[in-house]
Amino acid sequence: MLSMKQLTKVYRTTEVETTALRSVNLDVAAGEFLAIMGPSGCGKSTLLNIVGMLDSPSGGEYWFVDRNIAGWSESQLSELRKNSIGFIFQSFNLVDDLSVFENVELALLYHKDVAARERKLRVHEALENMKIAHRAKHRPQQLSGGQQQRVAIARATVARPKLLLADEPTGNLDSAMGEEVMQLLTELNQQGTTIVMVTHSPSHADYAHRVVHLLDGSIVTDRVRQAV
Amino acid sequence: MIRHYLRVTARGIASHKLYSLINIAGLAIGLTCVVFVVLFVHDQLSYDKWIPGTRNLYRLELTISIPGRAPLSMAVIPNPMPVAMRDQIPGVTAMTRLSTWTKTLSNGDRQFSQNINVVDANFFTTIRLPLLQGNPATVFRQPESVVLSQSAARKYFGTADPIGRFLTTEGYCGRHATTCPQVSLRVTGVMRDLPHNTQLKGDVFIPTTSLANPFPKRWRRNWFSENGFGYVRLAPGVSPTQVAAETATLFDQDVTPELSKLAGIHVLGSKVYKAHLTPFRNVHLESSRWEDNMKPPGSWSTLYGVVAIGILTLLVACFNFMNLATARATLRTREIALRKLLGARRRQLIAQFLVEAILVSLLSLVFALALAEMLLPLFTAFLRTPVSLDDLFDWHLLLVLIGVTVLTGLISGSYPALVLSGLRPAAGLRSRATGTENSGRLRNAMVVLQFAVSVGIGIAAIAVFAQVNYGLQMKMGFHRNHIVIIGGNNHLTGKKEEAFAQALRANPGIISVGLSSLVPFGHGRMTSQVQVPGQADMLALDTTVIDPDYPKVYGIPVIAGRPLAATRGPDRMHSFGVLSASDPLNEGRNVLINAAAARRLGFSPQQAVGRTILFNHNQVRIVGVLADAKLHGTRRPAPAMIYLYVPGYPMNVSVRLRPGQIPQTLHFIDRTWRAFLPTVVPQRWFLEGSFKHLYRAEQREGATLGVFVIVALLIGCLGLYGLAVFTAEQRTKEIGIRKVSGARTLDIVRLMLWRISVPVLISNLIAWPLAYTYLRQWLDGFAYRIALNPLYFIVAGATGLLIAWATVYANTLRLARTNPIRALRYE
Repeated sequence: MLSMKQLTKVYRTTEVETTALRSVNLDVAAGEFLAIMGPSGCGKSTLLNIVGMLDSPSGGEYWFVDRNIAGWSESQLSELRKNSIGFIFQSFNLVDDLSVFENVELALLYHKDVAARERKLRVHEALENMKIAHRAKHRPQQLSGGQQQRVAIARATVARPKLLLADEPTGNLDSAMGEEVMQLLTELNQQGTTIVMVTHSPSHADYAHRVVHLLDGSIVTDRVRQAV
Repeated sequence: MIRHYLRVTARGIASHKLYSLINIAGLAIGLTCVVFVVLFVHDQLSYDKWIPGTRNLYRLELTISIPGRAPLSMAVIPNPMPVAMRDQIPGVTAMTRLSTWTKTLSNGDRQFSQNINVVDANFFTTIRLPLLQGNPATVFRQPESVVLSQSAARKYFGTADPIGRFLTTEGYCGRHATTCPQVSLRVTGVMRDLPHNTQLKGDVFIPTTSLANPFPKRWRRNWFSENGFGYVRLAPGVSPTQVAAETATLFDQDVTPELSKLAGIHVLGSKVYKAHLTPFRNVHLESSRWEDNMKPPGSWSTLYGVVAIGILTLLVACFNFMNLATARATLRTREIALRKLLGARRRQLIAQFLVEAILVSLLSLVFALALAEMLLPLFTAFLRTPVSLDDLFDWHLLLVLIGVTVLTGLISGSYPALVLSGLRPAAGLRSRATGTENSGRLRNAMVVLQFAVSVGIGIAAIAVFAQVNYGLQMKMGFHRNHIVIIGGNNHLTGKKEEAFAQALRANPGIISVGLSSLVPFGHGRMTSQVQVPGQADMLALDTTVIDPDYPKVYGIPVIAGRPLAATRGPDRMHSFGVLSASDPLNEGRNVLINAAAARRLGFSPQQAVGRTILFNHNQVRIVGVLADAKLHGTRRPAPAMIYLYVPGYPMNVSVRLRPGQIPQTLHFIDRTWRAFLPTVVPQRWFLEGSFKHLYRAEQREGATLGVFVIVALLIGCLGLYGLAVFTAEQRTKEIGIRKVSGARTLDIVRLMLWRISVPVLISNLIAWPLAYTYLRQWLDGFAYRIALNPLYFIVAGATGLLIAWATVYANTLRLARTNPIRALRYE
């Protein structure tokens, strides 16, 4: 599904040049659950941003389902992204002024092909799936962290993306809630969604099929776990 | 999608109350100004548009350029001019004339001093003012007819039907008649009261054919006295410029001989007289270059000025909005990044921000209308025009207002929309990103502009008031306290005038009594041709007919020679005609001049005494020189004046009262008047009263500027306050670090105030030159004016700075006192 060849990313300011990724080669098959680990500043987030098309690589190729999208324009990427990728963040990134329902609805709002009626149905369904439908009218701040993250997952999945990117999804949660979120991600993966997750927690990385370790912008280990 | 935007906007307003309050209040104040500007402009443009059939109607004006004297441009014209135009210029299909006179009008013993419009019989068919009763075509079929306005009808007849009833007034009589016959005028029509939005004024109209027409018959065919207004109707398609050009032939034919005979000027009439036609509907706005308009005109430049100030105020409010929106954007970056992540296109985000801004503007408009409703009484009192908000509910005005509001939203929303929609999503989602360095610079730029507007208008307001004050304090060269003037022109004739003055002098409450054809601050002007023997140039000098006591009443000192005396025969002139006619009986008589006239003639005051000059072609001798009197205040220089004593000449009576017993003395004056003229109501006024009105236009201009300064400052400060609150959140960390490094509260406050001061100080760099340029030009309109004191600029700038400090001080202090631990914990 994803294929990165000799991917590099260099940040330049007037004074300093920082290499965030050095010749990364990484393939992710459809249906895989991949965890990326590594210390702060190793390039995890940069890699995830490039995978999520939020940032473009400085060199190399990035094949997304048979298309090399390195060098695509912002609006092309935006179109592809909105139809194919869902995002989950450590800090949930819910809009405070919108209700739970509206936050999830936001992900369909920019899909012109989804009619209002269908949109409502799908939002409701996504909330049901995340067992948070009873809080649909509440504001994010009225929910616990775990509940907020479930809303965020509902939002990330309501557009039915093929790929789900999770940036330390459990980083702001206590361990019980963290487990719960990991369970949900596993279920989504079992239903066929490809997941790429950045995490600091080895135990949460254990949920993944495959764990990649980054150090100073390079992949140092790439280990496929045996099914438990 | 629009519903989504609506919802987001509503939630945004509800959950950021201070921010919304500042934004909406700022825009509402700005839009209130716009509402008033729209009302004002609408009112100014409505003048005379409501009178039907005025498409081809024009008012006549005349510019007279007599050699040796500044051209005089007047809205009044000689009586024969419209008739001659109608009869001799093809394309002129009709004419009508109007001249206003003050007469005493009575119904039985109800007696009033009344302004009466003497008009041609076709007046109401040419200028179709609405008659409620009476037929416009026939109201003046009989010469002794009168048309009253509704309020005049009520004044004279109460609720009774006025049609067919009679009013009496004094008829026309010659200058030396002892009694004038009374004339009965039959009421033939009732006119709807004239609204304020017309160039015309008047409540009583009589035809020129009436015996009550006070216009002296010998002047009616004369091309040298401009007493009334003339209107002509042109055939469709005829160009007014063409018609004006064709009047040259008339002037050559009719004015040339009179110029030569009466003024001794041997040039073609068309070299001296130039006609001009102003479309009737445009008269109100296009008349400021003409003197003697029936009503004080408006002007396009005032209109544009008001619109410009309105736009500036609104822009200040827009800057506020932009400033706060970009400041708040730092709090919204996450939402924006998220929307982008979820597939929002840039233009969708732009649309969202614009819709938000427009919605906030429309909401502000609602508040603005409410505010306007509350402030309307102040506004109408200020403008002295009964404008009502109902006028706004005219659909195209409403459309203009909504259009302006939407435009305001677009302008206000454009910057935040463009900047915020360009954010990179990856950055927005990770950190608590703060606004870019760019937006900070832009915010400062907007504060600069806002304060530039406030400081600029503030300087102008200070200077205008300083000039008004200068005018009020200026030594004018004559007394004006306790002087009452009794307008006697045309009523007290011949010897009666002197007898009346004599009767007044007998009262112990009266210090002195003087007669003069013109009084200070009055309208009207008479000139005569003066020549120094041996010199080629003929000079036009302002002329006042006086009696010997006049300088005494006004305390105008004789600076050389001697005053005139009633007992010396040669001090009396035989006659003075406004037509600059020479009179052999004036030969060898004595006159006074003033210092300015001496200068014009090329003498010092001492040299002038004893000189013989040619006055309207007669030799007269200057026996004394009076000090200059600034009769017109600061606007015009003290006129170069020649004073003549012409016994029996119709004059005004100036009476200097002894303070302390004024009411009794006034009563005595009225009693004495009645003994002389039982059928005429005395017209008297205090000179101090006219003086108070002298600078009214300037005072109102100053007040207008003052109001706008306050509004602009208010909006600017709202914005500054909002900005201070918002940026404070960003600065918390910086302040924490400074405090940990040893800065005291005072150091922090000083630092923060300095940061506010920089843009305010820069704003002065913009405001000062602009204000200076404007004021230089404005002051050029005054003969006596203040110098532009640097203090005005410094005071305005410093006030702006102090207000800016005061606005942010409390917030700054709180911020500076915060425990640094709390500030740094946020990291």
